[in-house]
Order: sequence, then structure tokens, then C-alpha cells
Amino acid sequence: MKKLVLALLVSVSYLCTLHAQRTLSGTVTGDDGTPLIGATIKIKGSTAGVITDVEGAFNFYLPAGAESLIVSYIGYQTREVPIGDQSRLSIVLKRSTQSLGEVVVTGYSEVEAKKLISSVSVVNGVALDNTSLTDPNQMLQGRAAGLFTTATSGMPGAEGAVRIRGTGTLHAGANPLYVVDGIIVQTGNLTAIGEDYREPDACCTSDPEIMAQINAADIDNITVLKDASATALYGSRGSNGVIVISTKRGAAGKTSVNLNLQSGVTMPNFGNFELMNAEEQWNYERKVYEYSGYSQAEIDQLRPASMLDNTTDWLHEAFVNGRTHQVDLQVRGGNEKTRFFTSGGYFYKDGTLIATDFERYSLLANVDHSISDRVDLSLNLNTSYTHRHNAYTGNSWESPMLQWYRNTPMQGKINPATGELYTGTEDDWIGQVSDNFLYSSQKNSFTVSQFRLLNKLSLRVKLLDNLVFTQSANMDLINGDENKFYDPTTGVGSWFNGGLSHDYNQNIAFTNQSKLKYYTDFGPDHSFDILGVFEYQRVHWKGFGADAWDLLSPYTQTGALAGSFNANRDYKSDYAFLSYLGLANYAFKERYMLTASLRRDGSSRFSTNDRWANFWSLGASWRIAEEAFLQHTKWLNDLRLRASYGTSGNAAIGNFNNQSRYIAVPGYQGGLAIGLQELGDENLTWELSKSLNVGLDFSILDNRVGGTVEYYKRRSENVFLEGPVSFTSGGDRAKQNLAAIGNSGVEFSLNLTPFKAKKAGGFNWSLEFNIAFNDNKILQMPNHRVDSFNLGIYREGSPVRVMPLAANFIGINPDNGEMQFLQKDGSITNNLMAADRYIEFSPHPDFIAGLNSVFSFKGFTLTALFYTAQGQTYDIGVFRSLDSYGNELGGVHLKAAGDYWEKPGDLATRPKPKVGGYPGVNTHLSRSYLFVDASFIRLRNIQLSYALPASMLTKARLQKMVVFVKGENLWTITNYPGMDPEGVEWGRDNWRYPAGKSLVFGVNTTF
Amino acid sequence: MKTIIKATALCLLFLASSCKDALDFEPTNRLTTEQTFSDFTTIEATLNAEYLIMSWGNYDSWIQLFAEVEGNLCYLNGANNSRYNKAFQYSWQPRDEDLNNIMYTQYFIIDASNNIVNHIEAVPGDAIAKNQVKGEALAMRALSYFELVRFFAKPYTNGNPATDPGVPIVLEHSISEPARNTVAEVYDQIIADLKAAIPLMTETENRGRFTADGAKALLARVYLYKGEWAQAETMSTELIDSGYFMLADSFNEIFNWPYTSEEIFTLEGWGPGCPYNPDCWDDIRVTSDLIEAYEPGDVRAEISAFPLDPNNPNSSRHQYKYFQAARISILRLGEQYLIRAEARFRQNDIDGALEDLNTLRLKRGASEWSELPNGISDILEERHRELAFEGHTVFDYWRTGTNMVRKQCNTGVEVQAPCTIEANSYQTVHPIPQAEMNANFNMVQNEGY
Repeated sequence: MKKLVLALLVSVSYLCTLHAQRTLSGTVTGDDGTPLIGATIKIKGSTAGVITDVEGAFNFYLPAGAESLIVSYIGYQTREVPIGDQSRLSIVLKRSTQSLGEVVVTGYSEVEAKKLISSVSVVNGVALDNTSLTDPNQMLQGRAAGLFTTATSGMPGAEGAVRIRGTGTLHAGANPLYVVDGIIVQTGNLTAIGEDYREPDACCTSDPEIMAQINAADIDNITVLKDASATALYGSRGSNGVIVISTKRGAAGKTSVNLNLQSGVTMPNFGNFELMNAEEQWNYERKVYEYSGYSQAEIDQLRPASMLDNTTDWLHEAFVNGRTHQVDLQVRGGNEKTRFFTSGGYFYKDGTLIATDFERYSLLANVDHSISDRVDLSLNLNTSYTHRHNAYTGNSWESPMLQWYRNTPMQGKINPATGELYTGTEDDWIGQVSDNFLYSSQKNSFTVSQFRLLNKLSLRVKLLDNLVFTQSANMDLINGDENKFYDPTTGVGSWFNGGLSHDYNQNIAFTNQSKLKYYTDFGPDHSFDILGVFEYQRVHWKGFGADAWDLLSPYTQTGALAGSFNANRDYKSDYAFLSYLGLANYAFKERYMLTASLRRDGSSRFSTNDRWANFWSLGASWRIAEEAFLQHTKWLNDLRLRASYGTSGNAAIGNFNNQSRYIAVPGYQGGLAIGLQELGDENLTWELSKSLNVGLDFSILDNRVGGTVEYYKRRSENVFLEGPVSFTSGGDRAKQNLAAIGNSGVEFSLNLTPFKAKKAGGFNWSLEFNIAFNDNKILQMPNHRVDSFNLGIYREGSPVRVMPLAANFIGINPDNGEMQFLQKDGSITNNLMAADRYIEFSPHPDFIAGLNSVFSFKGFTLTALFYTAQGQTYDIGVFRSLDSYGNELGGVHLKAAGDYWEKPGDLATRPKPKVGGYPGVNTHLSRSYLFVDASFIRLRNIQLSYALPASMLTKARLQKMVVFVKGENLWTITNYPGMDPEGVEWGRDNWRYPAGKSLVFGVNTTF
Repeated sequence: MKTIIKATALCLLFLASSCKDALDFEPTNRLTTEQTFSDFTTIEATLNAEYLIMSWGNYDSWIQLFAEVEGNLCYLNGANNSRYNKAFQYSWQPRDEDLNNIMYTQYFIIDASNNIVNHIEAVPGDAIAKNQVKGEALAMRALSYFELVRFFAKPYTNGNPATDPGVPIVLEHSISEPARNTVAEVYDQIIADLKAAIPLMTETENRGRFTADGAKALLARVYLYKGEWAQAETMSTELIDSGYFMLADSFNEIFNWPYTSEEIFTLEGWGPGCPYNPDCWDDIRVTSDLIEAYEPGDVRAEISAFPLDPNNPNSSRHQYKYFQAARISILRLGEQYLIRAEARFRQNDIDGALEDLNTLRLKRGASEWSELPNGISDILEERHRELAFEGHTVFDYWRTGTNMVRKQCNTGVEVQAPCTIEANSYQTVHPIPQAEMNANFNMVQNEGY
């Protein structure tokens, strides 16, 4: 019946053009030959059109004057096909790769790239294929201009930090908002997710990253939204930028089965420093005692020759080679009515730190079904389970990251008395830490497992031909389980006679989204659409934890068999966002585009009077290339100018900061005591960012050279600062909207095709390059004050979180061997304690850049991605211990520590070492020699693949087979003396788990 | 088609109507201010928190401890950690964390009291019990303001109280940047709070909390610091004549369980014992100033200046007021006799003063006095003997305008420190903590810092 109605409608529209018509028939296929079912064929300049049938065929009457067809299909490049005199056409569509003709997914809607006004970066296609990275964040680095990612830990699946166009906040979440298949999802750290912001740790946690729950192989494309016009769609929470992830979906046609198998090795990164071996250390330390006035007899007693009998290179015991495996089975298919994509994946990766690994099982099913011509249903089911042997916090006693440098190389790992590993508790153990990680990593365990369900059901109803209503419901459920076990025979476990801790938590987010979209054309030159969205998201978090110690038996696994048990953690928390959004787009002759958005958002995190805020944006773009005066410029394919201005917000500050909160403790004289625990500012409200973006896109010389230049300026106001408040408030600190931050910068992206094959299989070379400069500055602090925090300093006029001011070390005086620090007044002091501290170091890079090169010839493809960050300075904190001028004799020393002053005239870099070191050297007083440039260039990814020729495939009944070998982080150029220059967000390099390297071999087969 | 539109419209209507309370959540692991102060039981518990935080005795937030280290009854053991150097050496800097702790603790108590006082009338409950809680909260607020004003401001009796900056008076919870009130205004507030508190309190038995008598005892001290001698005498007389309080038969027991008849208000908590304890940190030892002040037979020497080796009087001396039990003496009758003696002396009632001093001295095993040859100095010295290490020493010097001279400052066993501090030196007033200066733009730093 409905088909009849549709046929009637189509016929009616043709009635007026019935004279002089003729038939046109043909087929539409993909570039791999599969017929495309349901592809849209329109006559250019009219609304008339048909869709292809199950064979990909079409047949219709052409109106007079029809010159060409517009053929489109989701996931394929839209093509304009001239008709000429032909009556039969075979139309081949190419799969989409990023180009100006493509559709860009911005979360609530899809926009044709040529109509795009806002600033976005899209990563898809090859970049996402065959990756062996653990989470989507890592795929973006070097590929999207202006995006800077760091991992606080090299632990696979550890929480990372992603900054888009600099940091615009102080004490609120600075990570972008993540949107998966149109829905805002929970991101960041599992254990702290109930409170989506917490002050980051100084160094070294390996907290799990929720995004690692998503299998990269299931991702179709990632769009990074950067400016106000783009993020306005998420205005309330978009001020840090938005990352929109779309998973793969089904396509009508022959069912294809894809099997991806990978296996490889992981290798640690030992960086640029050398340690003394046991013998060098023995000699050095004897010297230290000698310089400190010890007698030969005393030195022989403190450092006897027997200490060299049993030695260990702890660093190389702590970081080891490992394995990685990956299996993905993906099935894609469907017909006109139903399309599906399913994927099952298994991923395993060893950490480079001993006894750490990451494992993921994932299952994805995306189904799209057309119930009728007017009603479509989409279902996304995304399930994953991850299990990690996690790394301990790097500064904790049990962590190998601490033990490798705190235990001396003169300590053997095997106890000669027993022939077994030392436990660290023996009387003859001389390590500073009474624990041997080689033993305890076998006995103890620290596991974190997470289960995630990311489900979405959406119904799309075409109310009228140009009015579409979409209703979606989404559930994002995360269950976490963290489990620590300490065996009583291990060093740390012996303190409490063995112990364990369990923590469970659940985070569940429900999102309701209703969208109404209306679009219309006023005549051939004007197109207009308007979108209204209503969205409600509610997140509930709860957690429960218990500790047990005094384990009763070596077989004890739970608190039930422990002498002492304490269930002392029990938490619940809720938050919600309610949003109304309106978005309108207008295009004139596809040349002039305007967009405007307005949204109103409420958050439960603010008091009733402060919780609502309005955000808006305006944008315009001009496709200059379409102007008549440029129509005949053959070398120019596209030229477009874009500009946008708007506001967006941030509320990632955790829950209930708008209220003072009281806790109960055992009290006075036996009564309960209830006291103020966290001071809340009831006037707390949204952070507000105002941003301007101007961009120029061009494409010339047959699209072989293209690129984008963008300038942006963002001012964030009402920035949350958890700073000191007057003690008269009853507390000492509170989160308030107090500061202002500015970020401005320039980004360039360039796409080049130096060689373009004339025919298939020829030599092709394409290059993508991007570079981004960002200037970050705190514009305003309350009362112009300077706040110091664990991770740095906030000062007006300086970038966010610069490091504590450092004393200016200018070398060792060759005459007397004293350290010299240049004072502000030009004089020199040799006392670090008294030295003026005035040098400021910034952990922010001057610029970041990425270069991706792809060569292909016949079936071979070689891709290489280089990534660089330049100009950032890191505080190499671990050198305080490794290079302590004699203060820390229990651990291991840098080989370079041996370069010290001994006699007048020596040009040395260090003073003569002595027991106890020098005043201040053992403290965290900053001095310039500990701040080092951490610029680097890294070959992030290199891959050589070979696609077997079709002739071989047909025999084996295969559609496609690609074999490849790839390496990650294989090569790094840097002068940074530490383990790894990459990924120290706040510039503090202490007790770190550096990122490793990997080399992987794989086969990707499509049946 | 129509059905679809109708269904959609219905859905939207439903969604819009169900969102009214969609953004209202309360914290589940914490109580909000509103929840805490809307119920008598929880209000009572916030009062407990005031006593608790006062009794926790962070060794770095005890005004009582600093008032002694800055004095001349004890010295810092030179062989030890430099924990209290800034107090002993008068080298306080605004950025010293200890100052933060002191100011934070006092205003924490003031803020809790403000909330109690401002909310308790409205909650249901027994009027007598509510009045008791309100009275205690007012008295605790008065005590905290008194500690603040004597620590961070010039003394009332040795300055210009009408213009000298005191501390900000805050009587309602808010995050704001209040300016400093004058010393006189702060004293007026303290006296008003205590006067309001006294008639509200009916509980008399509990010496571990503020009672009406406790408020009177504090008021007597406040009048003494303010130089209102007649009022001080009246207040202390009320306590001395109450019949409820008696000087303890054994001095030692005042600082130990159980309660003695002498105690008016004793915090049940561990005071700053460790820094004084030779078996703990051993930072602070008793000076010859105090050791020599005791005559043979004075039992107070046994707790305030006891030799490490009882058989060797030349071994280092230590005081034991804080670590025999979880007891911190705040107000006791012995002090009231000294207050009245001083008040009478100031009003030229020398006989009356002598009578009070002798009552006390005889009880403590010291000899009887027949005259006060050194006038006020004799009374101050008696205060040292009686109240040593209870947090009065330096304030007695400064409020009376007396320069302090130390015998033990430079002899080699102690941390080097100034031997004379003039009563009018800027150093007798502590700097406002830098954290407060940073957070409160209206705050004015004390002179000299």
C-alpha cells in the first residue's frame, strides 16, 4: 500500500514533465563490484529520484532536460554522473575516504564536508585499520591537528589525557567530551568516575581508561570537534572539545566476513640514561665514603668486596619483553530492509613492566532495519570485558618502578642460602626497599576488570517528507572490580601478615534523546534545515570496598579467611544533565552557508538558581571556488573560507561541589561528631568558553594538494579553581568560578599526493601533514594571586601549571667544586637552600606536529606516521635519587653521577659527592638542572602491507587478503635523558611506567 | 500516520513533564548543611565536632604550645628536629603552615557555632536541651575568637584596641572576604557571646564541656585581658564562692583521671604531649627560669619541671601536664584565684591579692607570702609556677607590657634564639597566614611581616 502511495507521489511529480521523456536503467556497484542495494539516484536540480533494488539495479523515466544524476550511498562517495545520450549506465561508487565531498558525523547530525562551517578533524579509513593500540585516544595523536594526547602511564589501557587546542580549565576535567554513535558516554578513570574530576596524581597511577573498553577495530571514523560552532551541539559540556566516534555499520549487499589476526612482541623503552653497574657503583660509593672522611677500615666494612659476589641489574629485570595478540571477526551485510555489522574481538597485550598485561573481549552488533518507508530502527549493542594485571602506583613501595632504583645493584636476586629468589625480608638483604619485585610479582596480584555495556536503541520516523523525528534511548553500564592481594611471605605483605582489598563499583548512565529535524528547499538555490533536540542524561554511581589482613592460611583468597576484615568503603552518587538544543543551517547556492545554534542546559551539579545556562554559536562559510569568477580556474578545485564564534561550557567538576558537605566520625565523649568536610560554594555555576575560529580550506591541482589553515582564540571564564578560601568560611578551600584562561593558536593541515597512479596498481604516494601551535595563558587569577599545587603553579600571565620556580644552576666552580646558583641580583651563591628561585619552566609544547606518509605500489602499501612535540620542559624528578651527590647510597646511581669535581681545575658537572649530599639536594627544591627539554620526534607507527592479487584470491574464494607487519614507537629522536619523553602531562617525570614499543605481524582476510 | 504523530506528541509531553525534578539530587555519602542543621541530634553532633577538633591537638596547631615555646619556661632541645624553631626563634613567616592550622581550627569552630546558633531555634526538640547546646556553641565561639585575637592581634591592654586590627567577626556561614574588625570589637563580641551563653546553660555536672561556670571562668579571663578589673574580680569570685569548685588536694590529679573538683573545663583529648615527652620527640625541655622559680616543697615542680633521672636533679627537666591521660586543662579554679589576685592588686587591694595568692600557694606546698615586693611581677611569676605549659606565658608578658628575658637562649644546649623580646616588638603578634592573605583580599597583614 505504502509503495503504491510512493509510486503515486513519484508519478505525480513527473506528470508535468511527461513530454519528451525516455527511460534510463542501470546498476550501481561499489568499487569492489558488490551491488549497492538502496543507493539513492536523483536527477540533478530536481527532487525526483529512485533507489536501487536488491540487485543494485534501477530503472526510471528521465524528464526532459535532465543532464546528470546524483548517486549516493552511505559510506561511499557521492558521484555526479552525466547522462548524455545513454539509456543504460553502470555506476561505480568509491568507498569514502576523507575528502571534501564526504559526510562528517558531528554527533547529533551528519553534515556534508563541503558545507561544513566548523573546525573538525576526521580520522578514518587506513588510520583505523589494523591498529594494535589499546584505546581510541592513541589513534588520534599525530593525525588530528591541535590534539595532544599523553598517557600518564605506559600500562596498556591506562588512563590518558587528551587536550584539544590546549588546556582551558584548572580544577575541572580537561579531557574532551566523548560521543559514541550519537550519545555522550562516560570517560576517564573507572574508580573516580562517580566524580568525573579529581586532582590528578603527581606521577604515576595506572588507573584504567574507560575508552580502552572500545575495540578500535570496530570504529569506522572519529571526528574531533574543535571550535564553538562544532562543539555548540554539545555546548554545555563541549568547551574542552568533543570526540565523536562512529562504529561500523552494516551495508546492503553480499555478506562479507573479515578475519583479522595479529601477533607480535612488545619491548620496553629504556630511554637515554645509563646506570652504574654493581662494580662501578661499588667503586663510586667507596669514593663517597672516602671524601666524607671515613677510614679505610670503615669503608671496607661498609662496602666490602663481597658485595660484588651477587649483583642484579634491577632496571632490566623490571622492564621486559612481552607479547601481543589480536583476533577480530567481523561480519557485515544486509539487504534493503535490514543491514547489520557484527564483530567479535579478542585483544591481549603484555605491559613492558613485569607482570602487567591487558586483555579485552569485545562484541559489537549494529543492526539497522527499515520497518516501513517511514520508520527505521537502529540497534547498537556494544559489550566488552577487560582484565588487567595492573601496575601499582609508581611511588608505592611494592612497585617495581620504585624498586628498580631504590634497590642497589649490589643486591643479588637469588638468595645463595636457599637457591630461591630473595623475598626482601631476609637479614642479609641490603636493598632499601624490603621487597623483591621478582618474588612478589609472582606471589601478589593487582587485577582490575571492567565490564561495559554500551547499548542504544533508536527509532527514526519520517513524519512528513521533510520532517524526521528520532527517538533514542541509551544505556552505558560499567561494572568495575579491583582486587589486590599481598602474600604474607612478600616484603610488603609481611607488614600485615598478608592482606587483600576488593573494590566493586558500578556506573550507569541513561540517556534519552529526542530529535526533530525539518529540512526544505526554497527553490533551487536555497536549502534550509532546522534541528531541535531534547536530551536528558542521568548517571548513577556506586562503589563498595573492603580490606582484609592477617590472612589465616596461604590459601586465603577472600576476607572470609582473614583474621581482620574491614568493609569501610561505601559510596553512591548521582548527577544529571538536561538540555534543549536548536540548530539551523542555511545554504544559498551551496556557496554561502550559515549556521546558528542555541542551547539551554541544566546540571544537577549547580544550585537551582545557577544551574541553567544558555550557549550559542554562529558560523558562516563561503565556498569561493564556486564563484563565477573562479569557475574557469582549472587548477583550483576548492577554496572555502569559514568563520565561527560561540560559547560552550564545562561542568566536569564532580558532584555536589555547590553544597557544603558534612561527615560523621566517632565523636566527643562517646557521642557522634558531624563536621564540615568539604566546603561548597552555593553560587557555583558553569565554566564558560568563548571561542572564535577562522579557517581557510583549499584544494588545488586536481585535488592533489589540499589543506586547511585555521586560527582560533578561546577565552574560558568562570574557570573552576579549587583554591584557598578565607578561613572565616569554616573551611580552607572550595571550588569556585574564579579564573580566566586564554588559548589561541594556529593549525595547518596539508594533504599532498606527489605521485598519483594513472591506473590501478601504479605507484602512489600521499602525505598528510599537520602542525599546531597553541599559546596557553592564565588571564586572570582572583586578586592576582599565585596558587601552588602539587602539580604546578597557577600564575597570571603564565601557562596553566607551570612548574615551581627553580634556582638557576650555572655549573660547578672549577676552583673549589662548589655548586653555583645565579641570584636575581647577579651574585652567585653555592647554597641551594638560599638560592633565589625565579626560572619558570612550562610543560606545554610550543608546537605539535604529525606527518603521515603512504606509499603504495601494486599490492604493497607502506605507511609511516611521525609525531613530534617540541619545546616542553619536564622535571626529571627521579634524578633526585639517581644523582643525589652522595645522599642516597642505598639505591642505584646514574653513570653520569661519576662526573664530579675532584680537584681545582676540574671541569665537572657535579660537586664532589659526600655522605648526606648537599643541603636541599635531597629535597624537592627546584633547581634548573633537573628541568630538561623533552622535545622529541617519534616514529609512532610504521606498517608495510601486501594485498594479495585478485587472481590468487579468486582461486581461494577470498575477496581480499592483506598481510602486514607494523611497528609502534620503534624509533625516537630526543635529547631527553629520562626513559620516555612522551606523556608526562604535568611535566613531572617520577616513578613512571614509560610507553613501550611493539612489532606485530598480521593477516587480514575478507571472505 | 496520525497515530505516529499522536504517539510522538504524547511521548514529548511525558518527557517534558517528568523532568521537573530531574536535576535535584542530594549527596548520599555526606550530609548537606540543610540536612545537618535541621535536626537536633545532628546539631548536637556538630557541637561534638567542635570539641573534637579542639581536642585533636595537632601538635602544630596548638596556640597553647606556641605560647610556651615563645616564652621562657622551656627551650628547644638543640639536638632535635627544627619543628618549633620559628616560634622559639621568633622567625614566623606568613607562609608557615602552622599558622594556617591555627586559623583554620578556630574558624572551623566559629563556623560550626554560627550554624548551630542560627539554626537551633527552628528545630523541634526539648527547649532545655536546645538552650544548653546553643549556650555551649556560643561559649566555644567566644573561646575561639579569644584565641584568635590574642594570637593574631595586639593585646587589648597594651595597644589601641579601638583602632588595632583584630580578626574578622563572622556570625553567619559564608564564603566571603571579610575585613578585620578592631580588637575592641572582637572583645565586645566575645563578652556578648559569653553573657548570652551563661543563662542558657543548665547542665552543671559535665566538666568535659562548657557549662555556665565554664563560660563565667572564660569571661573572668577575658575581663582580665581587657583590663576590666572589677568585672574580672566579680566573675572569678562567683566561681571561687560557688562551693562547687575546690582547689585540688593533689596537683597531679588535675591532669589525670578522674575529674577533680578544681576543673571547670577540661578537654578530653590528647594534648601536645609528644614534643614535651623525653621518650617521644623530646623537642621541648624546661628552662632554669622555671626550675629555679619553684621553692622546695612546691608540688607543682613535680609535674612542671621533673628531672629525667629522678636521682639526678641536674638531668634535663620535663613537664608532664599533657601526657598522663587524654586531658587538656582549659579552665580551672587555680587560674581564677590568680585572676582575682591580679584584679584585686590592680584595684590596689593588696591584702585581697595576697589572700588569694596564699590560698593557692599553701595548697601547692609553697610558703606563705606577706607582701608583694615586686608587685605585678610576683603575680606573673606565680602564674608561671601554677599555669606553666597551659598556654598563658607569653600572653601574660605582652598584655602587661612586660619585656621577656630568657635565661636559656644561648648556652649551647638549646636552639639559638633571641634572649630578650620586647613587649612592644612586632614579633609579639603573629603574621596572618599567607593562605588567608591570598584568599581574602580585604585582609590586612600585621605590621612587620
